[in-house]
Amino acid sequence: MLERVFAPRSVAVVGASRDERAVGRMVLDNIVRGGFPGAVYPVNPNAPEIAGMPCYPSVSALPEAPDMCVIAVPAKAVDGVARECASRGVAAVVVISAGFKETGPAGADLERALVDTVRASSMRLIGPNCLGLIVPGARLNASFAPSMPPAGNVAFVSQSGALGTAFLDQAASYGLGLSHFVSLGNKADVDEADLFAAWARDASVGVVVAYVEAVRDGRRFVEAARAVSEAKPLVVLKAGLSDAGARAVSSHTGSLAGSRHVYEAALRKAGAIQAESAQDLFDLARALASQPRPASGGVCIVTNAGGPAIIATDAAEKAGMPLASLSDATVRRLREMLPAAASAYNPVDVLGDAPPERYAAAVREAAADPAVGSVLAILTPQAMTDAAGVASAVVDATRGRGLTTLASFMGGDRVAEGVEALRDAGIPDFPFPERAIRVLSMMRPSPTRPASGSAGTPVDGDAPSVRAAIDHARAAGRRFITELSAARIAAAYGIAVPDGGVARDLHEALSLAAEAGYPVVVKVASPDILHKSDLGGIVAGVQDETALRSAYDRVLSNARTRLPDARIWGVTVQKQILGGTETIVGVSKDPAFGHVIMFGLGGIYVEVLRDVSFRLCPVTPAEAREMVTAVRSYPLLSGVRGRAPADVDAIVDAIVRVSALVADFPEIDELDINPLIVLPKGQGAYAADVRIGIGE
Amino acid sequence: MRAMIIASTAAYSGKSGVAVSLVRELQARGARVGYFKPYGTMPVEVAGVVTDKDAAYINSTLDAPSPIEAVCPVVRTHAFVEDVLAHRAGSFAERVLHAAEVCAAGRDLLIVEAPWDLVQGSSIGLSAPEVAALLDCKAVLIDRPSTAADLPDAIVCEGSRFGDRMAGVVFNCVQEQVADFLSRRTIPFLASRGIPVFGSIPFDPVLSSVTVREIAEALGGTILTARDSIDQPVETFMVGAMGQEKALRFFRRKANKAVVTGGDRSDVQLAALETSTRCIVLTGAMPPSSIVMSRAEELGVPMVMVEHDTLTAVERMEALFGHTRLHDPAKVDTMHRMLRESVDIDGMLAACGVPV
Repeated sequence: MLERVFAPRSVAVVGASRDERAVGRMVLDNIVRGGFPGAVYPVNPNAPEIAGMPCYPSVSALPEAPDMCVIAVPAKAVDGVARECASRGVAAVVVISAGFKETGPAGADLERALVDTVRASSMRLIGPNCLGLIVPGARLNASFAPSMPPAGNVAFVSQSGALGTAFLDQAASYGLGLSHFVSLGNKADVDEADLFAAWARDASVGVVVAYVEAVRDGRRFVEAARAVSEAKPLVVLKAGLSDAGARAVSSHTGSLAGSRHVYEAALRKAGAIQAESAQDLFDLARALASQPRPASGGVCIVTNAGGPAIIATDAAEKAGMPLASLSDATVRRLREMLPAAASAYNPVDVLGDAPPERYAAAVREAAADPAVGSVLAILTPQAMTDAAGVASAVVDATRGRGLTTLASFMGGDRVAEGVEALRDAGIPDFPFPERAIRVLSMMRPSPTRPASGSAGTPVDGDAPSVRAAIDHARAAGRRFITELSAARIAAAYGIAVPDGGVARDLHEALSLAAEAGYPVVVKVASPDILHKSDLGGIVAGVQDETALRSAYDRVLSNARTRLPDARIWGVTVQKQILGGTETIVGVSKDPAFGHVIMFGLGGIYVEVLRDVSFRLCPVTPAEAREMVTAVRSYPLLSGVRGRAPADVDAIVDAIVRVSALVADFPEIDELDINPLIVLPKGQGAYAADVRIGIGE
Repeated sequence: MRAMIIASTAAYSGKSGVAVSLVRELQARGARVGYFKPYGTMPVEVAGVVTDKDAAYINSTLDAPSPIEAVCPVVRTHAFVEDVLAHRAGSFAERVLHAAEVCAAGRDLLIVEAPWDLVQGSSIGLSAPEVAALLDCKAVLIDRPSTAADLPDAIVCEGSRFGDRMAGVVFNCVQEQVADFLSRRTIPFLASRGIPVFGSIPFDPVLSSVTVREIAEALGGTILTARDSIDQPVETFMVGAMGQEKALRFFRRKANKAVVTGGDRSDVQLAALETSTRCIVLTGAMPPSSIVMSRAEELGVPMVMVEHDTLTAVERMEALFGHTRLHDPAKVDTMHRMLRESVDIDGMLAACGVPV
């Protein structure tokens, strides 16, 4: 359906006006000025003609049903126009008008009515409260953005109209061509996922670029984004990931901004490149519009000065972007053709007096080396530098090589001609080399593309007993499943838990400890105490009955003093697992993206260093392993300084099982295994404390 | 005159709830039941007579209400306190006895609600044990057990004050986690001391709920959205001052709640709207973002804007939730049902010398 929106045969502008400053008139002028080849119908009941075109009193009075109707009348009148459009069989309406849910409940009512009208028909709606859309290839500028960008292969969707106009203007000045620009406004109907689905299969689209403030249906977003990223690069800038930024997004869009780690996990699952800034978004759009993503292999830097090359090298190492190690043959040939003072190693320094031919030879040699996946040409203006000549030499030397080529011609007027030549040839140029390296490193495909489809690994969990435990907690009106029951749920999904149970009194505690065998851990059992250790609710290393008696009193009195209102069920007595490393596996539920699973090493690594990794559920074993190896403290698990390697396979298995558990029971909105004690390789991992929260 | 007293170990233990449920239960059984409160502390004027607010309400629920001036013969007002302290007030015993006889006239049973704990009324000879002696009847003690395991000192102490007039105990507002402790430990202990327990009424969040309207009134707030939903019961409240992600986790912990936060905290407000929230109280007189109001309206969640800062608003809310009253027929229905389900009513009546 959106295909028709992007290539309409006819467009009506409802709310076109004789007043040249009116929005409806600006849209009309943009359509006409853009050279739209199809029929254009101004609609306004009070004007016989506008801008020399015959004007129609209503959509019903049009000689044909237009494919698209741009609506720029006051909000109260929009639904009426939309109804007319629907009954005439218009394919899509683009509602520029503001005054909908962004203005309060009365506007929200208008928006709901409009959505009802659209949903009752086959018509699609872009907006309301948007800038409109532009399809340069179809010479369609159905927006009130002043400039029409050149035609190209970048499709850009923006939740912010204003950022859109800025991007368009900048694109025009860089000569960056767009295939589509869509401003989504309130996203009452068409959202990013609809556009992604259309652009994934549109051959005119080479790169998809999105500016997103808030996503409502996260799963749909991820699925659609995946479809794009499997076909072409997708770059997403998600704004509002700081606390203050999140508040701004909330009050601006009426949706929760979502947290950074959830979006990172979602974009990873979607295979999207996450831009961290508007500059990233624009730089990546430029680079991906004309350059392939770098293949395996490192970057080769070719420079006429040492300093900038060192800066680029530092930036590459910081970004985790390897420098290509040139083969002996390449080095030999470079030596033969370069002056003796030049460096034939990467970075290849062709010296300050390098004429275009020397650059050409060096780049050609580098490009031919299989270790090289990308080339960064750095140029500084020296007395004899011919920037334009070097530019065309670089263009010629890399043409048809399938290599990613970026340039950093540093300077101003003296490199301007070279920069222009690079732009004309589609080699993105950046004024500073570290910015080029940043772009290059972000362009790299992620090392392990997430497996296709969203299904996790099936686990032979005992679902009926989990169902019974959840139902029981619900019937009791509990938001949290008791610790004992949570441990049984984990065990039902094959996660090992230590022997033990909940004791209602000291007598029971003593007999549980005798059964499990000393040493034991004694913990206060309360659905209201989330961080037991913070308030002295845990005593470990309890060796005998005397110690148990004092531990029993200590945890209960600590809990009662610190949290007098907490419901206390008794104490949990558990066999202590010795000789392991504490890790944490947690699941939270995001309103837009659903379950998100987290892994980290216990204690300070999670709490102080925030050294954790996140993935969207469900996760495959490969993703689970990635989560474990992704944390900075991973060497502590893999065995450093004489430590025995931990049973990483058991962690991976536990993560996959937790993921399967929450997939089977979507009502779980919080789950923490803290700690998951991991024993040395081959000995397993034990969920020593499991907390499960359930929602509606 | 046949009477029984409903007394309690502490204020807000649920005496009125038990009294009104018992009235309803006995009326349903066809008994002619009267209600009497010797000493009231919430003065209100009804038909030109100063009486007690709760007493007037419960009297109005009787099949045949008693004359309003007899229902609560002694009401604590400022002037009354000064009179008592200056020895200007006479003896109350006769007044109470006379009023009780008016309320009991033509009835099978008079249910007498004691002052709000066993101490109140001592200065004027109207503490619960004294009233029991005056009316020559037995008392049922309502106790709201503490959430931590503890010894039932108040019950034992009051039992000794009532002496033979103590019929037994009803536990009320019993939290899930103490029910087991009560039945395994406390109740057998009390039995060994000769104090029977007629039942344990579980805690029910609906009974302690207040409506959005009550919150708005107590805080002098302006309702900005979802006016149709202001009679929804609110069971508890939470304060939101954290980032959105923590807020979401936090807010999921409680259902049917009010959330107190600043008008400028759109993120907290939206997080609240994602979870089971009955109203959002916006402090500091800061109006919320229009688009968030749209969302609240869409979800039918009232936003109440108040002038108070968050701390003051929280104090007012705490006072409101601590002292909920049973003036809502739905709450009386619930309390009545729970009394029937959890209390041995016949045993209790028998212990009070009331023929079943």
